[in-house]
Amino acid sequence: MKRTLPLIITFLAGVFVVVTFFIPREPFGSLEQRMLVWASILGGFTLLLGIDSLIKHHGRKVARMEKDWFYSLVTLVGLFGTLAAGIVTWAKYGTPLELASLNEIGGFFWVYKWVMVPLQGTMFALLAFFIASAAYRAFRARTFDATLLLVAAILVMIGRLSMGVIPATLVLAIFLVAAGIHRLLIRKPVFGAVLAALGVGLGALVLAFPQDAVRLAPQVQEWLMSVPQTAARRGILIGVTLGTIAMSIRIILGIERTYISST
Amino acid sequence: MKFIKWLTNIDRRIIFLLMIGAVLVPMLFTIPIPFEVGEPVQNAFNAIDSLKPGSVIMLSVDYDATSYPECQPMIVAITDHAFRKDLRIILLGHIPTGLPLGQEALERAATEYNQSHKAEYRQAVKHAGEELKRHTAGYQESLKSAAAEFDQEYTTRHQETLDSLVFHYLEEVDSAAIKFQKHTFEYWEAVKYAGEGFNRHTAEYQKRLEGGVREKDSGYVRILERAAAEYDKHVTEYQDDLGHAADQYLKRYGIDFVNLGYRPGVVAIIVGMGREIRDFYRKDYQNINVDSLHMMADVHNYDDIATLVSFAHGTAVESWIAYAGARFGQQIIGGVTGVVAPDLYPYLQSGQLAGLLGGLKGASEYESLIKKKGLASRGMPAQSTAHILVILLIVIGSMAEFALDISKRKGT
Repeated sequence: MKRTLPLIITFLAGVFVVVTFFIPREPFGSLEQRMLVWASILGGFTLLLGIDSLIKHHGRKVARMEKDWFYSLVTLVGLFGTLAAGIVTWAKYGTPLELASLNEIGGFFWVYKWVMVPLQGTMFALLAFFIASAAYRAFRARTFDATLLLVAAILVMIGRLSMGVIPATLVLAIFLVAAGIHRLLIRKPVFGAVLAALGVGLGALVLAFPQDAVRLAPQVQEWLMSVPQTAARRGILIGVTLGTIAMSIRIILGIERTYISST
Repeated sequence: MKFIKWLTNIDRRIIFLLMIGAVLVPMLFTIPIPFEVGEPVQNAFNAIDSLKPGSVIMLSVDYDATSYPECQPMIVAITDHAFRKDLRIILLGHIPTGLPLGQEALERAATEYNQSHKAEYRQAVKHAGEELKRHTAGYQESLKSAAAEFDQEYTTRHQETLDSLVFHYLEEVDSAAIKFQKHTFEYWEAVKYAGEGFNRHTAEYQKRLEGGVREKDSGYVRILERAAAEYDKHVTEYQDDLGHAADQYLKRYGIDFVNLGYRPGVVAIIVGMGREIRDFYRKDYQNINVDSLHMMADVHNYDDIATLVSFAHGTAVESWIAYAGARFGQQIIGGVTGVVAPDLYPYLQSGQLAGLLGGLKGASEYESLIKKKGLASRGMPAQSTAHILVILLIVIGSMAEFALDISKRKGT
């Protein structure tokens, strides 16, 4: 019964939502709306569950002084500190979301603007450094496929430049020539000759028509994004959607049961 | 060869230092940057620019501070464009920690708009005040002539009371204008309050005046009543003029923009709003009843929303397309980070997205279309130098790899 009841509820709810989606007429329209409101309310309770889980997990770590307990303490201080700032602002203005609290130390918006936003921003900004380092170490033109990917990536980046298009394109041309020479030296003459010729041609064209190069770079980028990239993306999208439909049917019919497993 | 080996295993701290330089140096200078606007951004601009004044657009804040540099310039630029076009804005969001960023953008755009139209607004208020004064003078003239006929001494005394009431009312309006020029909603409330007080006082005044002269002559009372009715009409006109001036030159919360806040349950809310927004948003982000907000009176579902713009760093735009676009035919524009933009190109081609702003470049292109240099235009040179550095690093790394490969082959 412990497993059967959830399966029955899932089946009925799943079939009901599908039916109401395709029959918007009354009474199905109103019933669907009611289910959606329920879903939104349930979503609210998941937030509570999340907070409960967070406090339990980090509270236990702090109480037992487990490894990295100090970070858990910071998390809990952050959680309750923000809550306190919200309550204080609420008591003062009747709402925690009063923009005037931006200028009051300890106000809810003050905490948001001067603590949370910089912290989140800093975490994300670190990506620039790691991407640069990773690109240098891992993005190497060892094979034909890797070379193709690399050239396409550089072309997209050049297309999104607001300045420095000509030097960046010349760097790409030099790279193509170097890659061509490398292939020639390792006895892959056809591929090597093509790459070297492409590099020389690109370099010569950029030097001869610099204005056109600047104008064409965004168009090349747009073409790469909207034709080959979109073609590949569309294939992935169709695959993912078919997979989602299949998984949904499996869940509704009770074939897929991992969501009710106790682990 | 030693140098090549060093190059392939370069200390990453050197790369970090180079990146700091590439980002910081362009920020120290003002670099003019020409832009060629891409089709997706141009389409987004056209979709908003072609809307009729008074149309409602919905902005969904589906990002947080991690994507501030890319998404914030977009919402700032689009809000600015919408206010210039006299569009009304509904703000909501699916990421609670990102919603205040949207509110900040809205408030700032409204303040900037009000500041830039301050002179016109004040002129309109002054003009309306002068009109009222002119009409008051006419009213006093008719009272005087009536008084000359009936009881000069009595009415002159009461005219002074009326004069002081009018003066006091105009003074209150002026002081409200000075005090609340940034907080226009409060200002409008203060003007309304002053107006109500004035009407109450004048009604009492007329009652007293009528009582005093009733015994003397009913003909005189009739003249007074006509004059008072005329005067009331002019006060109402004056208030209407103030309202028109505010509508034309001010952007006010509840009238030109609202913030519905955050509710959990992304898909449920997107689908449910197709039927009735109030089922999920009965109150706004400040707990004010949505029905009491003026601009929401005629807004119930997607039929009343001309365009929806989702600013996102995740899959929110796809949810809007799948549920609001596909099911309810809602026109949708995406404003997303550079990483997310490629995911949305299929929707752009199929027409399910009316336009797309991708990354800082998309935001800067939009800024160039509305002819306003903002955060994105200022950030583009830094992003460009960072891109060039990454290109250089990739090329140097690959060339070093080529050299090592050849030397290895020669050695074997």
